[in-house]
Amino acid sequence: MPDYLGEFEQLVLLALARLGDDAYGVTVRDTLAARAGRRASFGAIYSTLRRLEAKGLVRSKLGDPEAVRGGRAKKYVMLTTRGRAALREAQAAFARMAEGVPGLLR
Amino acid sequence: MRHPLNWIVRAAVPNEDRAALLGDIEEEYTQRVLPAHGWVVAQLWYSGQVIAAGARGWATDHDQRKGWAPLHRRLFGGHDIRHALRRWRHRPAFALTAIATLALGIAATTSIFSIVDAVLLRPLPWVEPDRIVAIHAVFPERRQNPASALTWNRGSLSFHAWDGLRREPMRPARSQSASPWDYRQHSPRLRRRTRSSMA
Repeated sequence: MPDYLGEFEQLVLLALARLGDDAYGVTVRDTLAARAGRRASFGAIYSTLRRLEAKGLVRSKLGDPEAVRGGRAKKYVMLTTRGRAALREAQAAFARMAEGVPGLLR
Repeated sequence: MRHPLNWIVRAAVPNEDRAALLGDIEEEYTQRVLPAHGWVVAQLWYSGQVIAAGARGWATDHDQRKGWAPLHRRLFGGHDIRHALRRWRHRPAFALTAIATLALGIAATTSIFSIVDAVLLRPLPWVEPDRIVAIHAVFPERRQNPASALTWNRGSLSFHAWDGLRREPMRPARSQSASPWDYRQHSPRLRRRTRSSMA
């Protein structure tokens, strides 16, 4: 069964693809705000990442504790192969749907 | 940062995300929000993030584990009933005592209501029972004579019908139609009861 993605899930996956190894809560939130104009809460980002991780589309690892974070570690998140494929398919589906719609895409 | 609302995240967000989430909020708070907007706005921002994270964490947790709850769980809660059954299974003596107490209480209440209903609430099994009057004649010297009912019936103008300790019902005093006292219009069971009481 193909992995269907919601709109916010696609935005988060695109942010992860763009950030590479430096993707964690703060940077994902910054990217969403800067590029998509979405001011998401950390709660929204974490719940989406948790759902994507449960689907096997992303994986995570903990960094080192940092004083600026109150001694807490960062949780770095990265795309899995399955996540990349799901993102590619979702983008292709959007492009196919938009293709030929007058005045929508050039 | 020890914020008084951090317990929301601890209560609602899964363990594996909790520390990282609080760390992200604190990093943003310390590095950007506090220097740019001051303490009051930063506190409000922090509280909003924690509450939003708690709400998201709770919703995600429930959606992912259960999806839509079955109807019986939505109606009766599910957790409470399961908990009660589990406790009863662990303490069967207590369960039996509780069940016996409930059974006794229900039985006693039902019995008392049955008696009150039969004696006080349910009307007498005759037509217009509120018009029935009982007249007692005392004959100190001898036993009551059923013939006196016939005499009273003959001379009475105030009563619709008479009956007494006799085997056959009286006919109505003023009309030939069926008397409300005439037990023959009632059920066979009532007729049996009336006959036995008149015998």
